[in-house]
Amino acid sequence: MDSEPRAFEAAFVLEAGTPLRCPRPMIPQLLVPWTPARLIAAGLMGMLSVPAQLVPAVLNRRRA
Amino acid sequence: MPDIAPRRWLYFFLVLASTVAAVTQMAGVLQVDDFTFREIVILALFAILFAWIAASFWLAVFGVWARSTKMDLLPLKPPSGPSAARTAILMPVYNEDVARVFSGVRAIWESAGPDFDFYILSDSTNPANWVAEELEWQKLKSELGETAHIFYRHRTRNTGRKAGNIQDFCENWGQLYDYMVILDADSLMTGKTLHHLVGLMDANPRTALIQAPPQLAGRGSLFARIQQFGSSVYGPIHAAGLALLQGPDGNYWGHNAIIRVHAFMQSCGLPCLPGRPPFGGEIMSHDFIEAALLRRAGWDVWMAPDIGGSFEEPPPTLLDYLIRDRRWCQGNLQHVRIVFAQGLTLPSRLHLAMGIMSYVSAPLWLLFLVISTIDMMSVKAAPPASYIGLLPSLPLSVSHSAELMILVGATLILLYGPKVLAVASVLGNADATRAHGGIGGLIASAFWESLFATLMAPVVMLQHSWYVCSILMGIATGWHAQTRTDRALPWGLVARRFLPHMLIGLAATFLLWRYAQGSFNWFLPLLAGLWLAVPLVVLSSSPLLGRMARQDRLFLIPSETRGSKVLSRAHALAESHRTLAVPVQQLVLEDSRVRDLHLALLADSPPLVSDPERLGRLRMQAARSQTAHFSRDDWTLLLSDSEGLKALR
Repeated sequence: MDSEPRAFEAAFVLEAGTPLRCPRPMIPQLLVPWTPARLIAAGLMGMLSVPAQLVPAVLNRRRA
Repeated sequence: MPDIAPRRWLYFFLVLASTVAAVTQMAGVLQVDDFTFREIVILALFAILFAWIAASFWLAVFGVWARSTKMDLLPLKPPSGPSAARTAILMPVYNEDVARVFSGVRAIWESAGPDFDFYILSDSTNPANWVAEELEWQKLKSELGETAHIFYRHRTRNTGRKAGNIQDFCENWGQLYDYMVILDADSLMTGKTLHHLVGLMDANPRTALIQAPPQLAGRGSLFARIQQFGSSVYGPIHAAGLALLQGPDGNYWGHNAIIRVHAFMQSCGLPCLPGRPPFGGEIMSHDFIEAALLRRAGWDVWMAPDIGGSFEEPPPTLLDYLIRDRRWCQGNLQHVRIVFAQGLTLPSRLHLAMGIMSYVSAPLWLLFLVISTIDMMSVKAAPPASYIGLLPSLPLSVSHSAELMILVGATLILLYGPKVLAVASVLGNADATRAHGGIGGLIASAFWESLFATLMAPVVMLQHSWYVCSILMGIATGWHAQTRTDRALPWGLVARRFLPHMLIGLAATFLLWRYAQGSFNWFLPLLAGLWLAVPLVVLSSSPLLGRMARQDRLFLIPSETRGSKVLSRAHALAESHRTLAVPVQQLVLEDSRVRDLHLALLADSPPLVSDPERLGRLRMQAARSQTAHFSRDDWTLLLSDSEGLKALR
């Protein structure tokens, strides 16, 4: 069997393909979808709270 | 960091205002008397689709604004001196062209120097690819010497696909590194860009991910050259617009990005969704979700639109582009189940929603066209003029041509405006204009690109509509290797794949000519794309036409005109690669050195559980060299059997 043509002429360096493993598992994250009720409530909250993001910019501009 | 909220509000206001204006105009056209149910559907679809193209248009306008005012789009602390961090560069591969993978790794290594560790993370299921990868890894190691830290790992079970492959790396070697750079099998990055990214991560400890937007480059077919040109001219203003609006709420595109390993390990373990594919099971388009999870955990995710030195190859033909889109479509539609997951930030939800909409918009366009055509066909003629005065109310034939022309004009501006703005932006920079073939070359290329994109749009719309319908019917796609090499597609194959598009085009032509002759000309650009689908797909796949376009200075990009060391080095290495004439997996049985190498690499892998009787039969047949009828599974089983292979010594 070993009389077949060699794939590569250079000498092979036999070593492991990777460094030693140091295992530490990754924990699957929770991706819990919202229920319709929570979704509506969150939408309403968003409509009220998101405009508040503008307040600091408005205040800064007034001060300037 | 500048306050990002006012920009976002201005953007949403502009999108909303343009949509409201257009919908009001459209309502005026439709509301001759009361709205019918069909007209309400038309109006609703129009509102969604107009908002979608308005969002893209205003993004481009914001991009041009950012570019013209030279705004800092990555407001992070600059790198301060050399880094002591350890960074791994990961290249996940799945039955890819082995020469291309290792040429890319070598070109990046030569550009980046020995500061980085490289991992080729193979999920290849084709035994020939598996063994060829081992041989190429061995060759690369021996040629680059001791200083090159290039590692190879093969998984026999592809749990979690690409995301699972990266997770496997993190779980086994992640603790050894501060950062990891994820590449795709056709990605290339320069050493300068890699070092800069590491410096930015060092200086900004809240940042978990920086996406370096890859520029399409490196392919030669006409189709690929058109894509490359589009990405080079239109891409920068879209990327600038995105960066301006998203700030630290950025997204991840799956590759050409640097990631803080401990943040990723802490926050990005992906769950398996309940239910069966296509909506349940493993998360296919993992990148958007990983970015959303990082944001949920409080980390910053940035895009670096001006970093440069980041490349990927486009699909060589429209057929390959659409095959890739089938996978992406399923992955993005699966996000319907995640977009409302608890705790995600609003920008993350918008990223997911826009990903979903990029495919759902196709069937919505189709529905809009079909319903509005039916509505056009069923318009009743006004009563004869002789009846005037005899009826209780005076019937007047009202023309809505002016309003319709305004709407069509506005839609055309939204569709083609970003292209015009992008070309104008390039023309404003003499160096960039020269890099795209000069003023004449740039304008001609943009014209031909727009024409090609217009003709291909209905073909892509039909295909995406079919993808969405098939996914809704529960038909899932598998995981197939992408074709990344230039090849002229045969007429027979293309005719078989695109015959339905042509037939739909011919049927639509007949119906419109027969029942809506007055509106026929409006549909010509759509119909022409469908009639010409087969010749356009075949001709655009041609590498010869691609070369001719290049000679005529069409679709030139800066990496061609100015040159890019890493790209040309990777191509030179791939072209000089010598392919072995024998079935490579056979060498494990026939060449003791190949077998020893394979066994050394196998030593660390968990054994593949299988039927012992079948394995015993395969061992005996292998010992007698009776492998001609071995299936792919037989080979995988045999190549995973270290005990049996050792016995062949």
